[in-house]
Amino acid sequence: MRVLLRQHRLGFLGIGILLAEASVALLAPTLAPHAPLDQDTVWRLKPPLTVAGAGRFMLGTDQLGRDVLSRILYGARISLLIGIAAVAIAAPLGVAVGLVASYYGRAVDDLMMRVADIQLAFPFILLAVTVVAVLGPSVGHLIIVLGISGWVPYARLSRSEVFTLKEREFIEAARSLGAGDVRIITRHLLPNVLTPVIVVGTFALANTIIVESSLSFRGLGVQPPDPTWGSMLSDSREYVTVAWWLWVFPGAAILTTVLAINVVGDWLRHVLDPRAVVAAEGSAPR
Amino acid sequence: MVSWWYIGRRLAQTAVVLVGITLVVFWVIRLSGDPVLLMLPADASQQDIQRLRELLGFDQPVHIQLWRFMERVATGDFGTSLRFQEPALALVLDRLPSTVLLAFTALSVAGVIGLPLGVLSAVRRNSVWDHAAMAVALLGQSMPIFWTGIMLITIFAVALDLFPSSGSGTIRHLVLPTAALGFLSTGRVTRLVRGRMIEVLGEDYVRTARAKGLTESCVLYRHALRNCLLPVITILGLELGSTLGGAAVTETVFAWPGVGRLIVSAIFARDYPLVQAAVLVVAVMFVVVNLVVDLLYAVIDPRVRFGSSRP
Repeated sequence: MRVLLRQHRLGFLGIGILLAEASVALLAPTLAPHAPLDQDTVWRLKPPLTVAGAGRFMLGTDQLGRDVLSRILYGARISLLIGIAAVAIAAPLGVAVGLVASYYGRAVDDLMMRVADIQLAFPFILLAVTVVAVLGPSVGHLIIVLGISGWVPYARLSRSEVFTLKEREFIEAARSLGAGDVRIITRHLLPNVLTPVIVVGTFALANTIIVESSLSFRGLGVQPPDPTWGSMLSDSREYVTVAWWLWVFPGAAILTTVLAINVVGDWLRHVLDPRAVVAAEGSAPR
Repeated sequence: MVSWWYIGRRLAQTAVVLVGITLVVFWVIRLSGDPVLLMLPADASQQDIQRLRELLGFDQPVHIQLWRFMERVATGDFGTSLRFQEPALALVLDRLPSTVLLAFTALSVAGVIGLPLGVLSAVRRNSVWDHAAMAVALLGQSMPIFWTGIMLITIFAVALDLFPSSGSGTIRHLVLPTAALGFLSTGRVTRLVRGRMIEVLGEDYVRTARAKGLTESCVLYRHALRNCLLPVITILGLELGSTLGGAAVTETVFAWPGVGRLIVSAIFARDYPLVQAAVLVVAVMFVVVNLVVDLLYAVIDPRVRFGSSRP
């Protein structure tokens, strides 16, 4: 046990941080010292710990006198929810496409891989702008945008896995026993691609949180006054020189979360899938 | 070595993707909103709105608009930007050198720092060096680039006044955006090189090379490093592709006059012709980089047989 712990110290640390963050997000209403939308212009732009009285405004206040700590706690809810929900849409979608493409091969495969190429070359921001324009800005629509645009890595991965699997004897055996295509895909191929998909999904979760914060940074994500880490950073832009706490703390929240997820991803890759998945760490917005 | 049939097939696929992306963008940008409403003052009359729409051809059904667009594109005409009143393609090509410059400097930094750092980490595995390099690499990958950008500006432009915070023109303008982009890519390259190098160093041929009495540097660079170049080229290619495709966030934070920022502002202005031209130019670069990466495979590793997926 001690050896196990030592070898996987970082992985456990990452999981610990994420669990702590998830519970903080769930308990935000009880933990937050202030309501996240409460404005008080008397206490505008106060640096951390400068207002007297039992740790009021521990991380300072923003330009409207809102408590930065409370907003970060509530922001954790939205950021984690969007990240997890988007991965929960993208992963099944991508795996389904990948399985079907590689199982039927030829024209089906060609078609689906070209669609994947188009998706990759398509400007993500145009999709986000269009969905916001047509459906309106909301957390649900943001999840849809992130979900439907994130399927390509899963599709490519499960496709390349199935290419080596489908010629193997156990598939042949299943077929000669009378199993249909659907049964072979869902009962024999799907379980074999799940492990690498979990690894890719972990890195994708980290990536989605960064993408969400970048969108909110541009004002295309969650709308004010609801706090997300990205929108807090966006608001801080005009106060960069006068109020360092407005951009340091939300940024640190994103960094800690993404770092923890990446560490867990590395650990999962090491434990579950010794063959390194080259394309596992999707491409972050730059 | 490289079969012509393979190149032909890839070029055909590329053409399909480019036509596909043009069609999708043509349709989606029209869903996203009406440029005419943004171009006219808020109190414009219905007649004026209708007249401008007719003038620009936006009153026609989408398939007619698409047909006209295709006809013009066939002659090399991508239309006139609604916002700048200049030829759309020329506007994009005007911005292209800035984006290419930024992408190549950032990627060079990633290669020049990431490659030796990854090798060093692999060779001195679990040393202080290794842990420090991996921590920095992971950090680079986990920071949103706009945050890195804000931080670089606050420290090096505002507080220390070493470099300009935005704009372009001199080498000093290039430093901060390159640092932001390079930090991200260097992290990926370093981690990848280290992982591959550790794998390769355990192979039989490396042991054989050592047993032959070759010097350590010869073993490392002639035998080991060569064999981990393939995935490195893939990653550098992918990084180059996505950076050329518009480092929109970086370009916005540093007010860098590149294609990425142009696309984003054109999307927000519903500048249909400009979006169309810019997306196509970016897509062409993206697929060309991918094609070159695939072809480079054959040059570096003669065992690669085309048609199979990348390792």
